[in-house]
Amino acid sequence: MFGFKNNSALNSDGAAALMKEPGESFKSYMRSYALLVVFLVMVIVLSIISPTFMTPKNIVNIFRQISINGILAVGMTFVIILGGIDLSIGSLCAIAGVTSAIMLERIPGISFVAIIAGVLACSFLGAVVGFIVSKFKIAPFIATLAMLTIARGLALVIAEGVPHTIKDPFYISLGNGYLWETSSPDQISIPTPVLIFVIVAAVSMIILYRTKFGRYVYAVGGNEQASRASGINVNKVKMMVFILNGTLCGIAGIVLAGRITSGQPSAATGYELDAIAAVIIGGASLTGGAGKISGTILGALIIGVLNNGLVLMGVSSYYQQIIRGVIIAAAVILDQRTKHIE
Amino acid sequence: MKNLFKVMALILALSMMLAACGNSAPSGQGGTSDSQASTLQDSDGGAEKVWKIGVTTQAWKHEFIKNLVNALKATDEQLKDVELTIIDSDDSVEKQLNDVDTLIAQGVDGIIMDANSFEGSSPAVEACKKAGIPLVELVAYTENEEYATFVGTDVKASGLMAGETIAELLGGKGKVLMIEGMMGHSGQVNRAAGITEALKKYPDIQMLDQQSGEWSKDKAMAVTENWLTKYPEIDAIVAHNDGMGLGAMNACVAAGRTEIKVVGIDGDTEALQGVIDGKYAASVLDDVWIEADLAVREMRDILNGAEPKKKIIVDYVPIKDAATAQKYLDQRK
Amino acid sequence: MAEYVLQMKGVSKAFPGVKALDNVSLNIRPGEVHALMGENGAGKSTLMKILNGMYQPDGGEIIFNGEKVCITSPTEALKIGISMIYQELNPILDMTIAQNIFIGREPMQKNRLFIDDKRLYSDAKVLLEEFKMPLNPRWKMSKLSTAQKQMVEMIKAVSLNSKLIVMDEPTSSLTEEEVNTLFATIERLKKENVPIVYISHRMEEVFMICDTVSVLRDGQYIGTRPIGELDKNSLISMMVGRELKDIFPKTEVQTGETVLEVKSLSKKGVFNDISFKLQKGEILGLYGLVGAGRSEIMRAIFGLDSYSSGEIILNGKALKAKNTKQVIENGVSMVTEDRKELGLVLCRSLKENISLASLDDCSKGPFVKRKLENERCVNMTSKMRVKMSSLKQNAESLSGGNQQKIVLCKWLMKNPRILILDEPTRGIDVGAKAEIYQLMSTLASQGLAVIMISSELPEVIGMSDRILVVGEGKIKGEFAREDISQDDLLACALGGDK
Repeated sequence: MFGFKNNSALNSDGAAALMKEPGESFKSYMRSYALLVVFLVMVIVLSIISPTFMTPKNIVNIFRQISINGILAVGMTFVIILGGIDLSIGSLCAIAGVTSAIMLERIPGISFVAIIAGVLACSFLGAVVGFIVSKFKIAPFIATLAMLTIARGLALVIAEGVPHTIKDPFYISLGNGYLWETSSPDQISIPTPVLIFVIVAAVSMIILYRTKFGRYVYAVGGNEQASRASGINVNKVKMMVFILNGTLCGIAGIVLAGRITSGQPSAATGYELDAIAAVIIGGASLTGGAGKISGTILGALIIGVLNNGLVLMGVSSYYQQIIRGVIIAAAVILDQRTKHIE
Repeated sequence: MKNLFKVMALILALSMMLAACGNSAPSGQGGTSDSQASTLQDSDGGAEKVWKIGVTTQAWKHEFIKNLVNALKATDEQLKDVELTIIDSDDSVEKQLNDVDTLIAQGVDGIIMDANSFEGSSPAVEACKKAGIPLVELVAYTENEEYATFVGTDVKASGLMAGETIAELLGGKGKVLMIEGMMGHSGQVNRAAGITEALKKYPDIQMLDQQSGEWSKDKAMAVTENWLTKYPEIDAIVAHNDGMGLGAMNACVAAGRTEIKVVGIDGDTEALQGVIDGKYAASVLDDVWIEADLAVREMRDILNGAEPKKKIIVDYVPIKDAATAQKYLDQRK
Repeated sequence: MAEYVLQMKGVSKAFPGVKALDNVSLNIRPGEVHALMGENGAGKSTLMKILNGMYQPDGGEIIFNGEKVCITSPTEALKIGISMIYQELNPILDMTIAQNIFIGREPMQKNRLFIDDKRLYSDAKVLLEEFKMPLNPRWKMSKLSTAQKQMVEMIKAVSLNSKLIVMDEPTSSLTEEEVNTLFATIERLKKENVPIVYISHRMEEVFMICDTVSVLRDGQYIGTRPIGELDKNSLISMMVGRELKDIFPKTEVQTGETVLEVKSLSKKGVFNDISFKLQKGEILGLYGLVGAGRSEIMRAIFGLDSYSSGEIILNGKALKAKNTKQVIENGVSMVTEDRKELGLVLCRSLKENISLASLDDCSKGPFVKRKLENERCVNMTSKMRVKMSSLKQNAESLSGGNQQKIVLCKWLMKNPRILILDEPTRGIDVGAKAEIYQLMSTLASQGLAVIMISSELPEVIGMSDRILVVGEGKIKGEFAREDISQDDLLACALGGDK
């Protein structure tokens, strides 16, 4: 409508130059490198110390071991980009497990329905958090702190306090299965949880980078007021993020239940901390507006490799906790420092 | 750029420290490391094969498990032909399963598992079977019974013994409260059943109330404090483990209600000391020293070709007097 | 005593791409109130930040009390006796008046461990009485009005034995009565021979309390005159340095049909009975003092705030929007006053900022058509001549003027029929200002209806077809382009008989 056609002051001589976007700056290269450097140093050191570390079998193990935390961390990435935090994810995982396990216990053979129901239960609880956060303007920290205990209590109530064994082979395969069966223990296959994690990560990347919704998540996290003034339905975005996160918790909870072949009301206690750690190591900002799925995956890998390596080396569990904390802090410090390279 | 290198150097240094810990920490705590093991082997002239055995336990933060780990380490030092790698599952079923995978990848000859969850730890049984290595379960077992041998106690027996001890202390008459473990935990289910069954035989003993202390001392203390205000007359409190029992004892002492007899299960150091001091009525001791020793020996025998015994049940020991308590306390030094 | 308390000689300061100060001088005598004047972006605040130690000058020297000084930080400035009182005060609201006055230098008891509360409050009481302030030193700061807070800051400055006090726009948010109290305090300081550098846009005040005026323009020192030698017009021409029509390229436009009609819009305690019409192709100026309610009216129309009664008719239809999104969809865009709070997502890229409001127009289903989006952003930024290295750079890395252009890009991509601009040229340099004026003029000639809120008289007069003067939440007067005079506008805004 307003083409500035007749205006010499506003001509378009710069257009051609701008069409060719300059590559990523050196700074941002350094930023993405920093984390990779941490990761590679860890891998090199571990493979020197432990001969088992670089074996194909162990690498497959590491990927399976990070899958559940990885799925949770991807969901957490959305919440943290939005400027929030979710402390309730561990409890939500437990809900998905017990809900589906009990459904299967009552009516065997409906594994698919039970699994969907377990995931949807978490989506619903995510929606409840989203509603509280957006409508009542309660800080996500507080809303999810409340949900942390509510959902845990619900899980105990649903399960009547006891674990429920899952016997359904399809369900169990989600946690313990492989893409193809191997005939001897030396052959390698891809574990089902890894496949689920890869799908979750890929879909999440598409949502975050390619859709309007993804853009809005970044915008709302970066500046909620400005987003509202730009005509974004901020409440809807918040709601959707918590529903998405709840759904991912549900998926992770199902994989976990399959892995431990039971719906346990006490499952996944404290998992939120590992997920948050992965996202933060991955370079997301707790103030919102910044963060990447790729960073989160790398963060989850760093934690996973560390856990695996420490076990391989037979490090005492007490030292493990200290080392884990130090590495997390060091990774974040390194990330921060490289942000300021000029 | 300078900064980046500085921080990278820091990370590298940390990794080295980590590596150093990896080698020194277990040996400092009485475990063995690769280098030590190999020197041992060399000094033996390589006559005997050293079996590498991976051990995964429940969280070391519980005193009972810590005793178990110490017992395992003692056994490890005692037996020259085995080498244990003991891993803390930190109460996470998922971590326990992951650790078992890691141990298998590492190429251990056999695995001893103190199962975190009756149902949840079952896939580890499957994993060991697939890898073709023997699995001995210790203290807590799994729903999947395809393991070689279970070494431990009959959990319900501990409940029965605790119930009997209470009845004996009260002379078959009185008001009793029960602090339960984490609801749904197999220990809680079986101990509750045992205690209830034992007390059923004494119609004059009345169970006033039962609540979960979630295996934790401070939770048990809070539960007891509430009871002390609610029930003017209490004769005894029985707890599913000594940690909670000690919490209950502390609450009673603080309230000046020392007439209440507190009985626990496990035989924790502090509980034994309490028995010696006369503050703690009794503990039902789960003799982890014998269990750990039996489990490692059973695994060695299986690896050396013996037929698995399938089930080795160790009896509980009631600790009601200072002399017995002192005997077990001395063993731990 | 030396002739000057402060001499700044040949001070220069450059920022990337902008020469903020070029060989500027400032001489302050003891006991005078010295006005520092100039348009926004003239370099006043940069000069004061150098004096305050926040910036280091690239060249020139500062002589304070006869000694050459090098001020490296605000703490250093405070130590040698230079106090600043800012537009936005930041006292610690939960502490008492006395605690605020003596913060960081509380009188201690003999044991040097605990604060001597008795002395703290008695000392504060003495100070308050000295300035005839009817305040209790034990009151919390949060209880005070803005003016009272300012007064406490001044007392704090005096008690620090300041030898020079700088006041930056001290009256911008004060009521008339409060202004009088403030002036009385200034008179008292004058008697103590403490000179004051007074930065203000309000001519009347300058003529009322200042002794001397120094003028800056575009980073250059223009001159210093005793106030008696000047009148309003000569001062303005010193400040502006050119005839108004040179920088304001307003073309005459035949205005069209009414696109917006506001009927007795009210919000309790904020604005009352606001009615006006806006025509196609018209630039409607909304003039008034800060806090008069101009932004609040526009925020209500834009759906950012609620209103209690009244009617908004857009293109002949009553607008019943529940939120900003619906208002935007009806063809209204608003460039808000505060770029950082409401205009931009600073930590995100220029591209994401520009397309934020119009993602619906360049996406298919839920997916963004990234190529189309990129093309549109490139087109828009080149038309607007945004100085940037890449569309991927973060919004916070741009200068104020270019940030404002990004906000304009965002809204122009929406193809609005009505564009509301709230202080569109605040805090941006003269060059960018001229471009924005040019743009407004072009857009209006193409049929866009523009509402411009501004506190700058030359801007309002230069650009508007029609001016509404807002004061105390009401429309106080309406002026057509032909019969606008600066004095009338100001008189109307102040609500007084001149």
